[in-house]
Amino acid sequence: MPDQDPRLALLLSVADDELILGHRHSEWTGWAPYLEEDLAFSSLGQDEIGHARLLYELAEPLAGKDPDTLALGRRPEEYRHAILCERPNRDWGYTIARQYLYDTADDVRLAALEDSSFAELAAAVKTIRLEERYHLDHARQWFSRLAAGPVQARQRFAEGLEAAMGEAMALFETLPGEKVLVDDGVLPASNEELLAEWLGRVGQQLEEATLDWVLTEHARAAGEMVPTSSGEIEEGPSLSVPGIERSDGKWVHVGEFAGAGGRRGKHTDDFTELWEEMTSLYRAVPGATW
Amino acid sequence: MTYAERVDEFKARIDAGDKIQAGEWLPDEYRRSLLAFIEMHANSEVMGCLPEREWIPRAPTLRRKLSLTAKVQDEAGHAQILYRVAEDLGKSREQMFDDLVNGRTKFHNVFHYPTESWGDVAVIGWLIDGAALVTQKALLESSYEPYIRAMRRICPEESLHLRHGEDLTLELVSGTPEQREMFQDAVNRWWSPIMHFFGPPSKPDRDVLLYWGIKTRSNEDLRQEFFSTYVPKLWDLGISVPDDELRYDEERGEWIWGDPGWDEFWQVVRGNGPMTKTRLSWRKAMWDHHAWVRDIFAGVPHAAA
Amino acid sequence: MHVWDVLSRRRDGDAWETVGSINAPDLDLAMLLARETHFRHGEGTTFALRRRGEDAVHECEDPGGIGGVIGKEYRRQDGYVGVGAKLKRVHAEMAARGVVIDRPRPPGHGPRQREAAGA
Repeated sequence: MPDQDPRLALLLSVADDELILGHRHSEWTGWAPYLEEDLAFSSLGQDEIGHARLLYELAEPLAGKDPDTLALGRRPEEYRHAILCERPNRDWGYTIARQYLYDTADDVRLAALEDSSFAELAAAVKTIRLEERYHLDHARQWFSRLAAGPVQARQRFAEGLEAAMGEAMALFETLPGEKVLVDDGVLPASNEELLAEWLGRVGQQLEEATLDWVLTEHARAAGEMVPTSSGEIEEGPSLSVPGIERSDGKWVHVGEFAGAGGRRGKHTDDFTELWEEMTSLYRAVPGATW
Repeated sequence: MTYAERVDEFKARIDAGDKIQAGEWLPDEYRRSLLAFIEMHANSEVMGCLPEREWIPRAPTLRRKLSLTAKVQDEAGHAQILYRVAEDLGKSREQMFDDLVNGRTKFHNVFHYPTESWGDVAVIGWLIDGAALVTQKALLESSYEPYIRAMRRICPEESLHLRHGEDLTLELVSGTPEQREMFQDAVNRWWSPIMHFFGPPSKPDRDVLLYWGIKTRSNEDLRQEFFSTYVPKLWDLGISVPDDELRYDEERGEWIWGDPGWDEFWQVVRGNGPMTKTRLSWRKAMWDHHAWVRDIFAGVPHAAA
Repeated sequence: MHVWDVLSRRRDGDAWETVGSINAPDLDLAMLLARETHFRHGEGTTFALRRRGEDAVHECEDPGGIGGVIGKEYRRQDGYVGVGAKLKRVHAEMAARGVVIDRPRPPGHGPRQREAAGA
């Protein structure tokens, strides 16, 4: 896979996020907790897969592969989504927490990309945002119902947020070749800057719901992964210490990321399983049309 | 007016082709039969989601991933529409779901069977939705107006599913030998469940649903229409049907078909189909686990501001 | 939980027509859910809600994007426009391969091979 073009790395990271998360969302279709919501959430999943398809179409000339081949025909280590997206749905609390964290991050990312010097991408992003508005409304409505809901609802949501928070930050892991993208204006803001914006927004919303302890709990849990007493820290982002701190009245990111590596094709067993299932029929009859 | 007189008047209206509107007075037997029929229809849409949703993660192209997801979404949507009609007849959706997942109410036989391949996805999309559409179009003439309105929403969506199913079928039968075999194998396995779907040849004069105009055509009538619509198409694709007797008899003006045996049918509708208990247990697990989500909307006390 | 009747109209100025109903606890969530429950196939460009037992009609304030914006043709008939032509092509192919099953059929449902041969 010609990864050398940083624009391709960017396209694939966004497209793969959308495909893999869309895949997970679509797994709720037909058995979500409440019928009308089943329909709404299925549309969210279809939207994400549709966005992935649109972005794969942009990537086609750069990758030399068509959208279906990009979606289903790559090896697992060639996918560039954040690990957050490959995690199983667990229960509704985690699912909504992830949807909220992801679509807020997507909004920050897309708002920046709308000003990209990569004109075709900017145009695609403008259209994508028309659908993403509904995703934000969905997240807002469920956030408020769960956060201010009965005891168990709030608890399930908080547990979901705790579980998803660290890996959600890695949505903003620095891309390979990012410097070139920023210099060229393809990425109007660096991922670190986008992360700061997202953390500010999410931090504020969680504080208003008195759920900001999720951020401190995350930081504390992550803090247990400390370097050895000899001071050596192992090579590789997966063992780094992720951190969120409160500084100057704001939530800021310090250190490395939990669940990092997605942008470099490093995924977990959850993705191996997902990939096996997602590509099984595609691989079983090579060259077939369906 | 006595109850009996009101019932007679009501029946006369139905026989004259009058449609019963929402909120009108209903004879007890009419209401009970109608509710049970619509409830079973809604249950079937809900259980119908399960065989196909297994293939969403495995869809072999982006386009099929999207259209299959939308199809299953529509089945859930049909359940939503039908449960609403049933609710307005006096049973809560909560109660209907609870009865379903605990095995107290029924759903159509075809949704008690496993899927084995993408061939099954094509057969379900084309032939089973085709069978459903035949029965659903007949329900457009039902005596109960809210049910007719529901069918007016459901039938166009079902037609769309048919085109999706037909598209899948055409790719398979004109594809690799493996793909063609996949489809033929699926037809072979699904044929008798489809025959069972239309029900045994019934005695129209003893059919309560026909009496009240809730159903308007007999089981055999609908099955004959299915044969005429789909069997020539299958034969044109070189796909056989596992019934050596099946042929159209011009003299009698009807299809002759082999008896598929009805023991399996009776087992299945009593809840002993190959996938009945498994699927109901999945649904029940989801239902029980997510009681906390329903509580959000059920007036369980919320946190004070 | 309340029942909300979902209303739609073809053009501005037309009367609202009931197209279905949903179960939702309040207006905010009902607005969100009604979109995908009743309009995801592009059945309308805007809608309104009325709670059962009440008179007030609440119009959707932000109907942009109803029915989806990007690549939703698979939810509509226009997504299957090519199937008719594909059907003809496949029939011709089957006829040419000699696999069409020639068993007794109703009049008017004759084997396609006769059509294809005569075409």
